[in-house]
Amino acid sequence: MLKLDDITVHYGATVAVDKVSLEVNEGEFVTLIGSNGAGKSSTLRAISGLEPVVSGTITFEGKPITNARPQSIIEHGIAHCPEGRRVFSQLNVRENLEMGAYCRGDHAGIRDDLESMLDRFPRLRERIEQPAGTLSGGEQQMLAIARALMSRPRLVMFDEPSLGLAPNFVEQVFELTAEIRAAGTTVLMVEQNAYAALELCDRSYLLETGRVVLQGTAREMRDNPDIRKAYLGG
Amino acid sequence: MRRLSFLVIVAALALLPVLWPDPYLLSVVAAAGIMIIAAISLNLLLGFTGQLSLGHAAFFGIGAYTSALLSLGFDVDLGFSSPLVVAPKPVWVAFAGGIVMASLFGWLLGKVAFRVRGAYFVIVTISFAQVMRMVALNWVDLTEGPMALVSIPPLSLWVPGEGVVRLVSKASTYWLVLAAGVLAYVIVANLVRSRIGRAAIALRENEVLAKSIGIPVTRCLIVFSVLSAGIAGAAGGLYAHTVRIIDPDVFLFIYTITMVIMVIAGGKGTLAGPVVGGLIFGLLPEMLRGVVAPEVQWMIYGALMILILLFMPKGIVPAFGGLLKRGRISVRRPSATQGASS
Repeated sequence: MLKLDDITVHYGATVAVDKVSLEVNEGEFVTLIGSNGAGKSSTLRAISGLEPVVSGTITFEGKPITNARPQSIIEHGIAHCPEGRRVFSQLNVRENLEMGAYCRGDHAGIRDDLESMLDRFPRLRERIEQPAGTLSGGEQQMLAIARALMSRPRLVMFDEPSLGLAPNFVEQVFELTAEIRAAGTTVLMVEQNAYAALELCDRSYLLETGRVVLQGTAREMRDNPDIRKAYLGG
Repeated sequence: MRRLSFLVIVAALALLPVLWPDPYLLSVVAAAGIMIIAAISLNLLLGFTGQLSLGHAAFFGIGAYTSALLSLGFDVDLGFSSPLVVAPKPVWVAFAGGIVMASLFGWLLGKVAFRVRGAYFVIVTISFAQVMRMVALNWVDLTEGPMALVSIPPLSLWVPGEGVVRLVSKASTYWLVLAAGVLAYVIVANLVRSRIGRAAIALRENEVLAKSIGIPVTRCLIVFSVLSAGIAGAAGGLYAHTVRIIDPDVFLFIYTITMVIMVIAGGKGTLAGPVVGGLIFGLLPEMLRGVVAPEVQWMIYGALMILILLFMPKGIVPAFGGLLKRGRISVRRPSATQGASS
């Protein structure tokens, strides 16, 4: 479904992503693991057109999307749930959700999706007219995920969805990603918490200093002695 | 409720010339009104997209000069075989021409300047206004340079029972500016509440996130830039046809600064902000004129500005919006959103 072929991304003179190749098949749950600065987020940003790709190609469902504009990537069916500040704190919950469907033109469909999103996240319905900045960290992450789904993606990319959340919310967010995959959406997730990532996913890629150094099924990765030592704590 | 209070305020303002037919008062309020329209247009950029344009007087001036020149007619030698001769156009056509010309420059500046953001954008806009002033000063064949364009015709209107009326009386000028101001306000209010308006607020807050969910950032900024320039051009046209004399000083930096002060003191990013700020800083100099010496006037002006920013850093409208809550015309209450964003 999604195929990266030898892509390279630079930040100024630094190479952030160095000839990374990876593949995500339809219906799969794939994770990118690795430590800080390994190039995981940059890879996602390159896919969604936020970072220029210097060399290599990206294809989605057979169509080339290398260096396409972010809005056209979304129209192709890829949603990106970035890390860091995840919601527009000055817009209310409803407006945030509507922003997720910015590239869609079908008003009736957007309204239906908004309703079903609110059914799925009752806490968001309770706070529908509240500025998103007044939500708790966990609620903001829920909102960010719901917003990403508002574009009706076939592939959704999560960047460190558990970062900075209270432990009970971390659990919830991971459950949510599994539910999304179970509902038929392909998932590509970046996660520093290798233990949780390998519990959830089908396959995984380990990145170090911008390169893919290891890949395999979740089981293979969990059983790999190097990964156990460096990322799973023995 | 919100609409009702808006209509009541507009009706009250419309009745002013009837209740208080003092020509001096009316001309002062009309002059402030023109600056308010300009401030409303600046607020579109500064308040809603977060881009500080310090050359906003350029669009005002372009609107004023284009409208004045089209209504007067001109001939100018561009170096081709025959000079370009433009016959005087009907005043409203000229006025529309001023808006179109200003919008065009808004588009052009948007295209160029939004590649560079922040400080660079500010510098580009300042330079743009300076270049425009130089052109107006030195292209004497076209603009009469410092000798100014004079006897610019006033706008006229067909009134039932009276035929075509030239809008020269103080009261008619006042109503004209009020109508234009209300129109500008309504256009901006609708734009801001629209999809693209929400998108602009989103990108003002977090451009990377806005991009990542597919908001076409550049297109969004250019729409705002064009509309902002167009409204500023309309304000300039109103100025040209009501004051009826313009010189290159319309491009002066101080006018841009006045607009910025009005927007920031009133509350940038709120609909009512530029109106409130514009009324205070537009009328204050005139109100103080009879009371204190000119030097003291400016001191009071400066002190008031500092006090407002010290005690109401987000501006007057957001500061009072929290107190009055309902029935206010501010789109959002940043005081409520800011404190809790963690």
